[in-house]
This record gives sequence, structure tokens and C-alpha cells, in this order.
Amino acid sequence: MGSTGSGSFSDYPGSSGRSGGSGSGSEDGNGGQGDRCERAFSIALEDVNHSGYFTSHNTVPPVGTKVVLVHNKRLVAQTTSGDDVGNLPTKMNYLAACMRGGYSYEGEVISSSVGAVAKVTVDFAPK
Amino acid sequence: MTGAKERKKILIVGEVIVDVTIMPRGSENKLRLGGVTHAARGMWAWDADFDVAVSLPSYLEDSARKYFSSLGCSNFRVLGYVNGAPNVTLIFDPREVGDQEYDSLLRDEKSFSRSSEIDQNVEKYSDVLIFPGEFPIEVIEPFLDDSSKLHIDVAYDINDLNELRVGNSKLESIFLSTSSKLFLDNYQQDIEKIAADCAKLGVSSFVFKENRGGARVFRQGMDPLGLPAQLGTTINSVGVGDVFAARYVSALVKEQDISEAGIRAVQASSAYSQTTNVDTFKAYVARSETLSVEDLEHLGGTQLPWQDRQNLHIYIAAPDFDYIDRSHIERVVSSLRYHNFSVRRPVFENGQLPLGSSLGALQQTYDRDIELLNECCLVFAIPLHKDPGTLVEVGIAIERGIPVVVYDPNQEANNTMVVAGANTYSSDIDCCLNAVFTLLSKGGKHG
Repeated sequence: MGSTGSGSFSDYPGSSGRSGGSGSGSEDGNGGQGDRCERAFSIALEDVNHSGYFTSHNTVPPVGTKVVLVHNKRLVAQTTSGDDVGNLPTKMNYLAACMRGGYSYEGEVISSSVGAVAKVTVDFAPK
Repeated sequence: MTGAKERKKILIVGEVIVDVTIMPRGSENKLRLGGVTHAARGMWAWDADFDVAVSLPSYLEDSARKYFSSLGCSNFRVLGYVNGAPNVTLIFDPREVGDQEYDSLLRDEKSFSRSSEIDQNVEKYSDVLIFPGEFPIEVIEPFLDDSSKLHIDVAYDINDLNELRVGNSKLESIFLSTSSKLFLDNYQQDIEKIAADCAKLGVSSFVFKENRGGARVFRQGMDPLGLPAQLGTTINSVGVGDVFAARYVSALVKEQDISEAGIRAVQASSAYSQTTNVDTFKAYVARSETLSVEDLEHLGGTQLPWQDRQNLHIYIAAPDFDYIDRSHIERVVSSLRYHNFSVRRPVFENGQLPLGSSLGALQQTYDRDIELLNECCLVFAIPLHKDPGTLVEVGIAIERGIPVVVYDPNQEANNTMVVAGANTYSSDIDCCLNAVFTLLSKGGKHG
């Protein structure tokens, strides 16, 4: 955990593994969620109207479609047959470094709709 | 004595402070070494070779020496001592949603006395990164020779750029943030003037840090270089700018170009904002360093220059009436203004109608509110008490394709149409503020 409480300077390098539990209500420095590479997440994709899938099918993938996360300049949700469905928002850019470090992410479409702006939401989890 | 050209070690200069983050009732307050320590944590995280020369109260000296030693700093020099104050800063808004509300205890009683430890025989450094504080900058002269380059992060205690001259040393980089007093007092209406004033001082690069809107690097005769922010969930933004400066200078010392220096600095500072666990921070930095500059450029980010934000009008959809507790609304308004957005409050601009008003008065106010909504580029809704007016405004904005951010601190409007219809729905103001920046940035995506 990071520095917690006000009794001493406790955030020495290497202190994470030996400092024991944090006090009630304290924050462990990761928002209580551990390493961000290991988190599952739901995300609304961007640029769905311009994606390869939408262009070739003139619609969005149905709920339940399996997707994988690909780093191809942007972070892209791609069907298992290789069609781009949409980009991840830039707030998820840290995942590119996670992927370079060996993490991979799989998921599925949990909502999709075609309106003035096509929308697709996916659930991803580290494999 | 070692010649400056033989050394690639950076000297970091500044005050050691104790940062105390005041947490909400029920959570423990957080205490850690701050001031120049933030930059030192960064240097440790990316394995840079560095020494420090610090100003601090004498009671902190042993603790600081021990802590800096754990970060790999083998040469800890004391420039002088802070007297009359404990160098303790209380921080009430560590995520800088608005003004961080620093309270430095006994700041008006503070004075500096020079240490006898520093004489002309100290080592010389090719690059010195200075975080000015309650000490005269000239005190670092013994560490400089004619080839030394200075990099100065002007956050506090500087009222005029001319105060930054130290002997004949070259002013290589100046860092200034939108939260600094120098900027707010002198330059916030004229960004180009800072760049021009820096150029007059012979500064090679002026780095303007624009908080969640990214950063820009100004160099004479060249277009500004934009550095998009990498916004994530902010845990603690204290010291993030210091880490930025440290990573930037580390890159320059390794003879990486300005673009790489800036991009690496953004990555490191973003990582520092997302954890206060030093080991996790180091892991995040190590991972981001595995990506090439080209990789990072392609990934993009959020760029929203300070001065552009004044032209971005944000409509506050909320029960902004004088008979309710407006503290959540005031916090949002204060936060948006702190970040230089133009805030439009329909109830303030078009009036608050009493119960029983005539249909004509209601119609006129409705028309004016809708006209105002149409002039705005984003609706920031705070649907306290499930206020019907707020929800109607949200619906109109969604239908018209105006981006909508819903901040619902009491989770009163956790409803399908609101949550799914808005671009962002959250009870976390930090998340909502990030959404405002992302949606309004030039590279932001609304679809």
C-alpha cells in the first residue's frame, strides 16, 4: 500500500508487500482495484460508424459477438474474424502498455444499436 | 572536482515538504514527503542518476536523507534550513478537481538560512532542475559552471521571470502550469506573452502545462508542440507536474529530442496521478517505456488549450435555486471555472420564477433557457432531487446531439434513459471532469 495514516513516512520502495493491511477506509494507491492491467472493464466504443464491421455489414455486431482487443495504432475492438468494431477511448490507452507486457483481453458485445450514431458497448477481461 | 561535461547526473534542487492529504471523515489522512521528493520518486522510477540539494527544516533532515537514499540518491546536500515553519502542507483536494486548496502551515513565519555545507568545491552539474521555494536561487551557484544548463519549474515563490537568472548559466527549460501564481497573476489572458518573455531570457524551450488539457512546448521560431494528456482515474495529482518536469529533463540529458521528452513526461506524470504506491508507479512507468514514441503518438489523448476553454460554454442543468443546498452545484461551477471554461447558469441568467408564476412568464423563461442551451457546446447536469427541469434539459440536449455529462452525487437519477443517453454518467466528479475535457478536446469523440 502507499503512505497511509500520519504516524510515519511509510511509502518506501518495496514497502508494498510487507506493510500489511491498510486501515479502515484507507486508499491503497490504486483506488482499491489493484494493478490496472488486471481489471475487467465495460466500455462504449468510439468511431463505430467508420469501423470496418459497420462499413462492410452496414450494421453493428449483435449482442454476444466475441471480440478481442488489438493494438493497431489505436486500441481497437475486433471480432474474432478480424473486423474492427470500434476504437477504445483514449482513457484506456494504458492498456497498450499492458498488452506489450504480455496481457491480452477478450470480451463480447453487451449492447449495440444503429441510430444517428451507431453505438456498441463491450465487456473486456484479461485472458 | 568533476567537470560538468563528464557528468550525466542531474541535480534536483528544491524544498522538502511534508504533504498531508486531508481525507473525508472515516478515512485516514495520508502523509508523505513532498516538494522535491515527487521528482525524486520519478527519477527512481525510471532509473535515472540524480543528486539533490534541498532546503528543509532541520527536524526533517534525517528522515529525508533516509528516504532519498532509498530512492538511489547517493548525494544529498542541504542548501539551507527552513526556520519558523514545519514545511507541512495540508491538501484538501488532492485530485485537483478544482483548486487544490493548499494550506502551508506558518507560511508567513518562514525564513531560510544558508548552510555552511555548500562551498565552491562542490561537484558541478551539467543539468540542474530547480523547483523554486523559500530560498534565493543564487544559492545553487557553487554547483554550476559555464556549461551548466538550468531547467526551472515555476510553481511557487516566483513573481517575475527575471528572478530566474542565475549568473551566466543557460536557461534551457522553463515549466509553468496553469495553476501557478505567476501564470494566473500575469499571463492567463496572454499565453503568447509568456513564450515571448521566455525567449527574451534565452530559454530554449518553454513548457506550458495545461492540467487535464495536456501541455504545449514553445520554442523560438517553431510551431508549439502539443502533448495530449492521458486521462485516467485520478488518485492524487499532487506532484504530478514535478514528475513531468523530471522525466522531461531526464530525456533531454539522454539526448532524446523534445518530442520524445514531452511524450515520456506525459506518460510518467499520468502514471503518478493514478497511484500513490511507489512500486505500482514504477511498474506503470516501466510498462509505458516499452512503447515507442510512435506508438504513443498514434494512441492520441486529450488536448484542450487553456485559452480555447473560455470559448467553450457549458450549460449547467440543475435545480440551481436559492432554496436548496447548492453545494454540489457550486463545486462543479468552481471546478469548471478553475479550468477556465465559461459556465452558463440559466437560473442565474434568466431568473428564478416563484411558484404560481403566469404561463407567460414560464414560457418566456423556458424559451430563454432553451436559447441558452443551444448556445452551449456541452450540458453538465446535476440532477439533485430528480429535478424534472434538469431531466428535460438532459433529454433535449441528447436529442440535439449536444454532449451531456451527468454528475449525480446522490445517485438520484440512476435511470436507464439518463445513464444510457448521456455521454457520461457518474457520481464521481473527477470522472465527469475528465469527460468534459475529452468530449471538448479537438481530438475528442462524441459518438
